[in-house]
Amino acid sequence: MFYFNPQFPREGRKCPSLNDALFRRPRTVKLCFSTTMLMLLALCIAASNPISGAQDAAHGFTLPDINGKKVSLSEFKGKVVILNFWATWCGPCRAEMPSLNKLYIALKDKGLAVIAISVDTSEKTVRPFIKEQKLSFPVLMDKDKAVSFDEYGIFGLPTTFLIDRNGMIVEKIPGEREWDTPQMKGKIIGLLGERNGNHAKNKNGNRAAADYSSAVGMF
Amino acid sequence: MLWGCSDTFLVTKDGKSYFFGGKRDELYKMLCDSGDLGKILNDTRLSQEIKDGLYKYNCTQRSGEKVKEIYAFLKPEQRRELRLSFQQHGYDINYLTC
Repeated sequence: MFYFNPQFPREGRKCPSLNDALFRRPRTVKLCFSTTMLMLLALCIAASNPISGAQDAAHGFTLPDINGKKVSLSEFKGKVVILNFWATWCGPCRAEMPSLNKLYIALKDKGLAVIAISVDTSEKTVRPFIKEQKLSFPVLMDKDKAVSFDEYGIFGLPTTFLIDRNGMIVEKIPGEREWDTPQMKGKIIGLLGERNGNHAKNKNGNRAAADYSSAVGMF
Repeated sequence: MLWGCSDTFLVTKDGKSYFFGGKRDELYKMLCDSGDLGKILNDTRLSQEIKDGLYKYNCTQRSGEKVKEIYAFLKPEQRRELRLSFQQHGYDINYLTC
């Protein structure tokens, strides 16, 4: 059975020669082989996904909100975007909405945008839910699934994509989440602290902590 | 990165839903016996290789894994072709709750 040794390969240490492999260092060979196989496996998994996660550009779209007003992803350029696919008939989707709304209210002034895309076939079921939950973020309608299916290739609901300030997908999150936990807030605040691929610096030059330290007080 | 929370999308017709690429006999009857999948695929501009693969692994050598593999490599415009053709033939694409 293969296992990953995080200490290997150590600095200055190379995979063994054929001579070493055959006669002197079989354990080192096994570790090198394991590492190589794990890397190949990771590449295969990444290649098999339509949106593999790390650093894929988010597909642009324009969809109507529940009042028919067209909204485009490009309008949120420069913001961290939480793109949430949901439906009113989906229990876990409904369950996570209050915490998503709380997260949005807490961080919208820091540059967070939340876009919820409903795959319901009518606004009639969506409108009362928005009102009941007092959702503050835009809710768009993807009735024919042109965005959810064609562009984002999702299979289940809810599915959420985290998009950084550069428009790159940094994570695909299947299933229900508690969005206002300290861990999730920390993750989003970390993304908010990044700009143009680099972490923003505060007055003292400390990375990312600039936004985090001021935002933590809000929770 | 996780693939998602279900194996594939659902195809729905007349209130019945099945996983695309699934091995249920009801799905076979609905898509294959009826000739629907052949018509659906023929009405797309997908490459012949993709059409043949999707038909083969849904209807002759039924393999959900192979269907998933083919689907995973479809581009957005190809997924659009597939979705529109399903919809034109009275099917809907649906999702499962995670």
